[in-house]
Amino acid sequence: MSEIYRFEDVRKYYLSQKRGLLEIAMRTKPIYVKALDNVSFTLTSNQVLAVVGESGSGKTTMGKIMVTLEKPTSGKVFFRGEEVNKKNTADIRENIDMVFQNPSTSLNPRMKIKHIISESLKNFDEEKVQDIMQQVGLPYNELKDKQPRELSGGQVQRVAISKAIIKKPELIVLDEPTSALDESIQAQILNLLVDLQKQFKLTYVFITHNIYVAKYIADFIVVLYAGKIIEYGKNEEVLEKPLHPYTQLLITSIPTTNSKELKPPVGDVPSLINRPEGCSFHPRCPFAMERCKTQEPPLRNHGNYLVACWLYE
Amino acid sequence: MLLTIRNLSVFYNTVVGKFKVIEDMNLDLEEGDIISLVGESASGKSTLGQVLTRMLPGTGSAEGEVIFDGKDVLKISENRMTEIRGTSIFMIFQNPLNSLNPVKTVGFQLIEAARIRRERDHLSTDEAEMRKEAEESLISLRLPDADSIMRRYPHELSGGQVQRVVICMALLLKPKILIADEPTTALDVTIQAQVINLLRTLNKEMKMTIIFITHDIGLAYVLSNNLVVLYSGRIMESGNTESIIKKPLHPYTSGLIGSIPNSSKTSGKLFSIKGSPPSYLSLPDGCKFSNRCQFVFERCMQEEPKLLDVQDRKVKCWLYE
Ligand SMILES: Nc1ncnc2c1ncn2[C@@H]1O[C@H](COP(=O)(O)OP(=O)(O)OP(=O)(O)O)[C@@H](O)[C@H]1O
Ligand SMILES: Nc1ncnc2c1ncn2[C@@H]1O[C@H](COP(=O)(O)OP(=O)(O)OP(=O)(O)O)[C@@H](O)[C@H]1O
Ligand code: SF4
Ligand SMILES: [Mg+2]
Ligand SMILES: [Mg+2]
Repeated sequence: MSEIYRFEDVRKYYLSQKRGLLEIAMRTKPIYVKALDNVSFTLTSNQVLAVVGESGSGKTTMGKIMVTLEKPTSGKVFFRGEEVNKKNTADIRENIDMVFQNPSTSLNPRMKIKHIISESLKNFDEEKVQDIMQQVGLPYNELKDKQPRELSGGQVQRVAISKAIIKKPELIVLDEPTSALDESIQAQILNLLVDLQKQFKLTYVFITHNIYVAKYIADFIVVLYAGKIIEYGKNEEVLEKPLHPYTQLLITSIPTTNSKELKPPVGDVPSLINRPEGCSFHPRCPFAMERCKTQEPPLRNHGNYLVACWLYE
Repeated sequence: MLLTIRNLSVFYNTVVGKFKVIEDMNLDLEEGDIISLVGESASGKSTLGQVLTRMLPGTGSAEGEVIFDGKDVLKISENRMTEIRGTSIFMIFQNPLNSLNPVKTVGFQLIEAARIRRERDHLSTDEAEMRKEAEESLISLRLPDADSIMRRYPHELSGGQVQRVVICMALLLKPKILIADEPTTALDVTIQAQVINLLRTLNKEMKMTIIFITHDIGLAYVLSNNLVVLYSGRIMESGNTESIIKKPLHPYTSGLIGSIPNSSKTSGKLFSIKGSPPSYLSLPDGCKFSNRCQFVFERCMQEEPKLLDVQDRKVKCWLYE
């Protein structure tokens, strides 16, 4: 086990609006969306890291930075200990793959399914394609010559997964890869991903908002909130005994077939343009103290965990 | 009856031939119903939604009747259909980007939706008022920085944000029937809870009828009063949500419910229904689930079961004859 990827104080700010010549000439101040703010973590090879967190909290942005599709606004990222720069991006893209959140818009619409899946192989290998499609539950003969728009949502998602795993790259970023799948097929895919990971010693960054999925697949879990890491730890620990109030909330809001009541948390979601002062979660936190409103809690060790919350000083 | 589906079959033409993805479907919807459509990937859920809004691609075709407001949706003119799509039957597509125009800002599109409804209801179409309505609607969906989001283009949003913009459109349009195709797949549970509660409110206050397409049985349970379970384009079981989930009758429904991961099942492999769904090119004879069913017997492989009235619901399985 060795370090495969590292983020050091990574920030990613998007311009909230493209600036025209006029705005630049008038020197109006640009407005930024702070998608990631001061994110640092180390990813060890041969493990599965689940990234969970609210919609818009920066999960996809983090994945895109890893596969070099986005550049950090500031901070450094390292692949196998080597700082990522222009020179080694080709090498990185060779070894890291990403399954995108919205596969129907990321696959080439004019290519046949069988060619999409085998694109990363040097030559078209029918046997391999057939084999992988069978493993993800896609009928080869029915789908091989179709184009992505002729497939159902869940079929496209499995094509995207097949395309990534056929090559078995060292690191795969999977962005909500099973969100369109029913439980039964999801189980089949997760079992397959786990088998491959063990067999070929792969590393996964698994972005999901499904806590059960995270629980099943991950070794470690990182929880993002408003562009920051607020909790990090071992899967069993974080999910059994979450420390951060947001993580706790996440776990109690899961719909089950035991109750028809859904209690969405009250309070405002944080702006990423004008971040609330203090802890970003304080407007919604049931335990918020005076201090939380003014001072931002740093990410600190607490037992085996890392947590950013004043309750754990 | 608000919507009546009779003997509906749907076909796609492809390079490997023409095949039927929905077979002889019958379904009734009353005003104010919330019905969930569940079933494995590729079972025909989105296709059904597309038929109801007549948005099938050119290679698709439908037979049968879909009666809405006394008229057959499959037969009326395109002009009339455009009108219906805007105000009466609105569909949130599974891929939310397909419901949005990539070169128009989010704000422009939301204000358009508000305008369409206001014109329908003969209300004022004051620009500032509509903008305010759109913004408030975004905020009710827990989107921060609503003003900034209105100025952005769809590709400048996160996955869950795009999804909420399309839900917002539905909230602004307030159609008679909302078909929502997996509308919360990119949302975390806290925001999902908010969206579900908003849909419930619309249903109560406006009597909006909702067809909720989902693969999440937990969600179907929480939201809907009726449940329809699809498999290979056929209704396998339908009836009251609560009673089906508490006591599924069809072996496929049991399998589907049995594969819901829960906190107690973390060690070992996850349960999945054995085998893969059959290809539409080579559906088994008889019951379409027979090649995966643990109760299969002789007759299942020869003859396809009818949709039988069993207890409080309908079930397509020979075990209940
Ligand atoms: N435009 C098309 N041309 C040809 N076949 C199609 C087309 N659209 C869908 N299909 C096929 O029809 C079947 C049903 O697709 P549909 O999209 O209705 O499934 P679904 O139940 O919504 O599945 P999912 O849960 O994966 O979204 C699938 O086998 C799919 O491959
Ligand atoms: N091109 C862009 N321009 C401006 N803002 C952007 C752009 N891309 C993303 N953002 C913003 O950055 C934030 C983080 O986005 P990101 O896609 O990383 O979120 P996410 O955690 O993946 O959310 P989801 O679960 O909804 O997919 C969001 O608030 C989003 O609106
Ligand atoms: S008809 Fe037979 S094969 Fe089909 S579900 Fe019932 S028992 Fe199983
Ligand atoms: Mg995302
Ligand atoms: Mg679908």
